[in-house]
Amino acid sequence: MKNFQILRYLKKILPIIVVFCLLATYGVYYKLSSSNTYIASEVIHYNDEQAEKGLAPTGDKLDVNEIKSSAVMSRVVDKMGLTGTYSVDSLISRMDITPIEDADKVAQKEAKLEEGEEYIYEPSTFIVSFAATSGEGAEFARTVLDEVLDVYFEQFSQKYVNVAPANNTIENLNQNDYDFIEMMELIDTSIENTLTTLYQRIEQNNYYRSTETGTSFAELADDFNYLRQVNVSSLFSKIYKHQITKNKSVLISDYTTRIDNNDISNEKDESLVEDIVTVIDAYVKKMRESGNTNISYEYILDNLHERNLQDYVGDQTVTYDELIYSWRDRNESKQHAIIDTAYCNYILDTFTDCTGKCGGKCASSALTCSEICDAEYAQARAEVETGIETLLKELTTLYDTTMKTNNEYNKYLGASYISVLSSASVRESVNVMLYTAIAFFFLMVLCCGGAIVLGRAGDIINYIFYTDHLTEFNNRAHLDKYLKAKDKKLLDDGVVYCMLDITNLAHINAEYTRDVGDEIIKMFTRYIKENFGKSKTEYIYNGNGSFVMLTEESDYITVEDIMRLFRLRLDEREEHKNVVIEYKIGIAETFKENKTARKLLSEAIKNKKSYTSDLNEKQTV
Amino acid sequence: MFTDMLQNLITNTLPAMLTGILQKLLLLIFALLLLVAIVRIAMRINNVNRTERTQIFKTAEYLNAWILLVCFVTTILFGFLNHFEMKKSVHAIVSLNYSEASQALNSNGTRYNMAEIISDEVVEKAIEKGALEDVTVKQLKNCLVVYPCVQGGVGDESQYHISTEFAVEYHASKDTAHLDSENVIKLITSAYKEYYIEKYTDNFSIDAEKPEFENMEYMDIVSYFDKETMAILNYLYGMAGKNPSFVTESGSTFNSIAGKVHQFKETQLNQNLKSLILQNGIAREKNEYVDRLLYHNKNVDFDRQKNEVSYQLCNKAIDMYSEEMTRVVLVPTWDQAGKYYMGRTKVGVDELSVMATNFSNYVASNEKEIMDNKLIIDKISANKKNEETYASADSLVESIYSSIKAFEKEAINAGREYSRHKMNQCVAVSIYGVSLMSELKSIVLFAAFAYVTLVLRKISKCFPKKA
Repeated sequence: MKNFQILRYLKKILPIIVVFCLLATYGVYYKLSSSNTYIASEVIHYNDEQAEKGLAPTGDKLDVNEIKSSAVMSRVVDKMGLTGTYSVDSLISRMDITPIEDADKVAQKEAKLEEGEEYIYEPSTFIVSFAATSGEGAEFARTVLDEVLDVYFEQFSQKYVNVAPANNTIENLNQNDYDFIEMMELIDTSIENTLTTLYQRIEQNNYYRSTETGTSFAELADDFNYLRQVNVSSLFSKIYKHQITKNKSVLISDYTTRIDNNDISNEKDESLVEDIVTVIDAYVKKMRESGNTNISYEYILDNLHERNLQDYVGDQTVTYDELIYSWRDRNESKQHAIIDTAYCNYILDTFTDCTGKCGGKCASSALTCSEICDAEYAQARAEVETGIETLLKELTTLYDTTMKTNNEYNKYLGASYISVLSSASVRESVNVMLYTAIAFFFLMVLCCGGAIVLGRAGDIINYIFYTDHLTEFNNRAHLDKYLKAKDKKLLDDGVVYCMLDITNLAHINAEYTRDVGDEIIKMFTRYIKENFGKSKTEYIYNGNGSFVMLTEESDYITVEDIMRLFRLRLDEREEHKNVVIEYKIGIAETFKENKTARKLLSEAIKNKKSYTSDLNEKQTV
Repeated sequence: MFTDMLQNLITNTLPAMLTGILQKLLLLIFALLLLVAIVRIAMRINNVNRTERTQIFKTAEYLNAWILLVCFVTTILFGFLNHFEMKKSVHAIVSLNYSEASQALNSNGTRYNMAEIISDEVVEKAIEKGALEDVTVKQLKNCLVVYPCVQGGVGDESQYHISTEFAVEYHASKDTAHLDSENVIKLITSAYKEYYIEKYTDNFSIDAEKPEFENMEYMDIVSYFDKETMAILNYLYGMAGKNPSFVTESGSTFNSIAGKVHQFKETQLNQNLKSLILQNGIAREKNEYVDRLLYHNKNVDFDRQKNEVSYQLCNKAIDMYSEEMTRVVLVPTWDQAGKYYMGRTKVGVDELSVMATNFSNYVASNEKEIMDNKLIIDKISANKKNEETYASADSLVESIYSSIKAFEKEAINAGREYSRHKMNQCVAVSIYGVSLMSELKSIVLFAAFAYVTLVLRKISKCFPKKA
């Protein structure tokens, strides 16, 4: 059997293996690419100290999952114009939030907990990711993540930092059926509430200025104040002066009802105040009796307390304080109701006041005195209506500016409370190039391994079925297979077939025993191999002392020379000198007319010439 | 309209599309020729033996004049078509040059979002700016891609990176084939610069419209001027807070301009104009204005009463505290500097005292407002109209208005100068068209492809049809 030579197995089919592996690798690449996902990730960090205690700036629990809440996602869908294309839920399911723990803080926490001390630590840095399919692409993943964080930053500020609203509640107020005085009261209240909110903002950040609107909260507050001081006051005074109303009866009823409600509320507050006083007395009495009040100014706590425990911004009121505050609040509510009643009476007096010009008609009329007898009433009413309309327009514009400024402020606060540590980066969920390279390598190893196994199996099969065990040459079956394979192919130039037959083999077997015959065949085999040497020849033992040598890249003369050398070698043999060997040699080379294997073989048979190797005769001579 | 569309189709869209089609057609023809040659060789290869095959390849006319000529002509044609095709794709780099960019922030402190570079607003602005025809925002947006030039990772801290340079790529589609690519990318980046400056850089909104002073009460004019000067001061103090040492080309600082405005406000507004109006009781509609002040005083008085009540209730609440319940406890503690001190527990009395003080301040403020208004009412009521005083007041109003506008302009100019200095134009843009090298590369590759195809075609014909 042939030696185990790896290169021999690979040499022939290596190009096929490479081509197959390349094609298969492309298939793997295509499959990986199409099933791959793009993951956009950004690292964010909550800057507020409270975040490490798991709390938002307001003291509420900080829930990072709000980043992928439907409130945020639905706004993203709207903003990106994805409505109808993507469902909010499908996008939420692709979001991922991974906390990054600070190793030092975790170690500190564990050490404290081991000592039995309380230590709260929650991660305040997170990786926020969004996955997009290969069809959607890397840019889609990055854009969605950017939009999600944009919206979240704004909502975080709105919910946990900049919580006070400054909304326009008076838009189109004049289109409802409010009386003039009611409209003005609503406008005044709205401005007052807005001013309260704006002053809070000013206190937080005095010099904050929106780049979009170019205004600061202080300027907005000045604008609202100016309108209140000039336009609102002017309209109020005009309404009072000219008793301008849409319906005197309704107006009087409204304010009378308000007075009645105040009275009822006062009675209720009075009763509550008395109850609170009783509770306070009972509380103090009980505390005194239980010895809880025996604390002198010399009392000092035993342990040292950390400052941050005192600085904790929580509710520090005790029950006693709460009772006192409750007493104060109830009394304040009652007193303010009394003042409001005085204000209502002032309104009622203003609108029921008779100048005397109407001759007392207004007392029993559904119209005010001015409506009945003031010649300027109609003009004043028209002026008030126009004034309110103009005021509402100006306020609406101002509210729009406030809203825009506030929105930008929310974004600004969001970005200052949450910082970005690493901007959105996109990576593939599977490293396609790496896995493709691994696949190529694996396929090559597999194919080469397969080729070696198959090659070796071929060797074994060849040895069993296509090798003559006496000569170790290929056998007749191999020659048949060869001829069949070459049937439809043309032979290359330089192919030479050589046939060598031991013609008296049967005689040798009979005369000298079969063993001698076999030894002579082996000798022939050895000499053939020696003489053909390194030429590109395939040796076949056709049985019955017949050899076929198929030589490529050679010519007739060369093979003829080889066979001449063979004959000389045979004639100079040292073994079986007494045996006369008769043999025939036939050589044929490819030409135009014999380019097929069978033709060339028959040509070789045709060209056979007889030779005899008789050493006895030589010795005698 | 239809005629215009047709004309545009013929003059712009079709030629642009035609170059693409012709280029692809040329490539297709050569690809087909190559395929035919390969198939022919494959089919006839068994008709010759290896020696003959080698001979065919050895004796082939590799420098055949026709092959070289056809190759040369088609390469020229391809190069010409390729130039137009490559011109359809351009890219630009947008760099953020301000300090906040390294924290992934806009210059106003809000979060930076790269997607805004190709947002609907920017694309719409670009279309308007360039008066681009027959293209919608969506069509143009679909041709644009934006991505960071360098991106970090999230694996560990060493990979963290904040991108400050972004590439914008434009690849023309059939809807935008009629547009000049370089012009489009220039328009997009220029529109983004404008959008960014408009939205994110320091801005000071000014009341551009001059109020009708002749219809306003004099005291209202004072309030208006007060409001305007406060806005300028607010802006200047804000800018000074950002960089107090910044000196403009004219040698001013924000604080020095603010000082001038403040001084002007105190002298011209609060002293000169206000005093003139007050002491002479100047009013346009005397009765109406007095009525307004009376109403205002009434209203403020209601507020005063409420504040007074709250103040008294806070005091009463403090009185109510039982002496035994207000004793404090001393808490040994340390401050932020690590020094020890004795803290004391807070009780409600402390907070109520603070509240009482606040209400007392409100009451005082209400009373002052009422008294101020009463003074104005008294002065106006006692006034006898003097035309000269009115004329003098009107002239002073005009002069103050002009001065305020001048201050406003000075403040804005200083602010802009600071923005230029600080942000170095905030957004810089570089545009990259088609490079000569990449064009040459394509041409050389095509020439090689064409040559191989034509030679193989010629060789394939040398293989005999039969053995």
